[in-house]
Amino acid sequence: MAAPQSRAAGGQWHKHLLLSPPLAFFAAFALFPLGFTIYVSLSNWSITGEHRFIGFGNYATILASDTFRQSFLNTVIFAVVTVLLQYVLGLTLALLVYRSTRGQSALRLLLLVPMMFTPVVVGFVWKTMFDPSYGPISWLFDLVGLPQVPWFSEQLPAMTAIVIADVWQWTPFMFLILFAALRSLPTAPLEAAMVDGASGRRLLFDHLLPMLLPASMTAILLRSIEAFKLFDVVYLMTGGGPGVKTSTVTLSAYFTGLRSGDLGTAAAMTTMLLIVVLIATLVLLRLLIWAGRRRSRTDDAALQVERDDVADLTDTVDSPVTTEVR
Amino acid sequence: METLTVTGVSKTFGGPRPAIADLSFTLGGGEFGVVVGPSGAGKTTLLNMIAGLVSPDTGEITLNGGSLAAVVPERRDIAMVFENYALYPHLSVRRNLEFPLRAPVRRGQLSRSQIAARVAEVAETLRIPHLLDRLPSQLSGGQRQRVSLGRALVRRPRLLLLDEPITHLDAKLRHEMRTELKRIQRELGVTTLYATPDQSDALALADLVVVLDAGRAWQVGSAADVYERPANVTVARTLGDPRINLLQGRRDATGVTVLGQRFDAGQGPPGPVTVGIRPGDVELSTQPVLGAVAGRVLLSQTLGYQDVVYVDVAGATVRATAPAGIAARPGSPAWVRLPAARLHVFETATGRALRHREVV
Ligand SMILES: Nc1ncnc2c1ncn2[C@@H]1O[C@H](COP(=O)(O)OP(=O)(O)O)[C@@H](O)[C@H]1O
Ligand SMILES: [Mg+2]
Repeated sequence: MAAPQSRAAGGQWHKHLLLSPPLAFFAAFALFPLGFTIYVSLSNWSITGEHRFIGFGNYATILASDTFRQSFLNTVIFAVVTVLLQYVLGLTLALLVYRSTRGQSALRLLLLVPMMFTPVVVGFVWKTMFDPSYGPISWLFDLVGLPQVPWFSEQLPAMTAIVIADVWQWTPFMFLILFAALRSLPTAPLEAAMVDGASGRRLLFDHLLPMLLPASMTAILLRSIEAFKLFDVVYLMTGGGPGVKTSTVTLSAYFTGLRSGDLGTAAAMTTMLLIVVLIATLVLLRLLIWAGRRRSRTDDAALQVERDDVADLTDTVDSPVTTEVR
Repeated sequence: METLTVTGVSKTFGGPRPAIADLSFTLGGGEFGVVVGPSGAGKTTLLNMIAGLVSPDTGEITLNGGSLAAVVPERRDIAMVFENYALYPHLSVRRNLEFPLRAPVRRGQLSRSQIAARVAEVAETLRIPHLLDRLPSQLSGGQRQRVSLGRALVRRPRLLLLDEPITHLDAKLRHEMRTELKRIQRELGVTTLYATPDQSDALALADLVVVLDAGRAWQVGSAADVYERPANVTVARTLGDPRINLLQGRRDATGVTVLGQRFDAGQGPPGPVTVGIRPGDVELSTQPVLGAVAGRVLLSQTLGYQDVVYVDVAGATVRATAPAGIAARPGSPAWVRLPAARLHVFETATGRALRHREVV
């Protein structure tokens, strides 16, 4: 009994030693930049290099700034709206495609195309699409007799255009994950549900979607982290305009830090964003673990169950000898 | 009580061999039918077709005279226990058991407390009340199987389909559950079709046995029918444990010769035949006996209450049961006698039965 335990402890020690190089890399490439950013955010570091520690001054400045508050609000709106739309659309497409037998692979490839463009191209393409004078969308609106929309000169249309571009690009990602998850779901519980009297919508909402929950949470988590960092498409389509009405935190930090040279304030902005992303991630991760636990079977639970079996099925006469073994 | 009829049903999944070929049988109202056959025989396919999950290529399935062809699975009111449990992974055991009662097609038929009472009752019967709040992932195989049984028994279906419902249980529990199943079925009076690879399930439970192999029904009849009067070699081979001896023999105008001995077996065309005899009907002796052929013991297995002895007789292996503790060591001589009245005779070319053993 004692021997394996001490060997296990020795193994732990070795494990730590073997893990140290990657841990060192992690420290150098992840923790150092993080610490550095936080330090910069607490200083008045300018692009010319001179700096002094000033405490939370930068944070006070940005929290008081209308521009930053607008950017922050926009970031949250963009993240929530785009991820939700992408999820709903991706799920719908996956549900439509996964059972079709003919032309499935061609359709799948076609659906993935938007994801293969670089965001720069996506931004440029959609800026052209929405262009009020020569864009195809304006032309289409004209054709069907809809009034002209000032796509880039008012806040709501501009944000809508950005959302459309981002949803266009990233729905395929959701589709891909959900499609793969759907294909790997066991079909038997769904057949059982049919025999038990469920159909159509009930089958979808009572069984298919709950069984898809872990995959959904994973896809939403991955997309959310990215969505909070939205930059390229906004930068190319509106540049944050009109004014700062479509600006995001990353855009704001870029303009403050690299255009105006105020690195300290920019670092404070990215740190704020990091904190929000961190909180959102933790919440989603919690949900994901909770969703995953409903399906995975831990060894502990299995052991517990086997012993229960002995308890409730064996007569008292032939008492189990196996309890000795533990 | 609903009568199930299956008429000329076939199903091919695109392979060269049909999964079910021209299958017909009738299961009377309230009867317990058992489909017995090895893995791959087509049992699951048959049950899926009756449940409506697979549509037959040809033929018709009716329940109480009404064709099921145009009825979707959720409206057939058939309960099914699936081969691999098919529990709802995201629902607790309690919710799994409740689901059939809460399903849209039965909404409003039972009150909340009636549902709870039904669930409690079925959980008690299956000895799973302490598991009600667990998720399927937290159950052992046997427990999952009981939950899946419970989900089928919780409502009063027109027809109950059981796809190998107790094969994953350990031997002791399997016997208990078998008895319990039969009792529940009698009580509910529900017409039941039960698929199993285990011939002893068939003999113990069935009012009607369908012997299925390679998609064909080789015989449909009562347990006594298929055991005592197998219509062909396949049926004889499927039922009985230890398995029936099948020995090469020859038939002449008035009798059959097997293991160098000749038996009177009535009139018939001469030719090669397969002679079948149940191990329990073989008389085994460690001493020379009149009318017995000499052989050598190959192997002796004890089943506790009796031994199964494998004897090599002139190149053929004969299985015989003997009282436990008989001195039959491998290599020792043994004498085997085949009582003429106990022989089954099958035509070798077709496998068709020519003569059955006489029942005492
Ligand atoms: N969905 C399917 N697609 C192709 N072949 C199948 C399918 N289902 C069953 N089969 C084939 O049909 C035959 C019968 O299978 P099955 O009904 O599952 O047998 P059993 O339940 O008796 O083990 C097997 O040869 C199997 O490979
Ligand atoms: Mg099967």
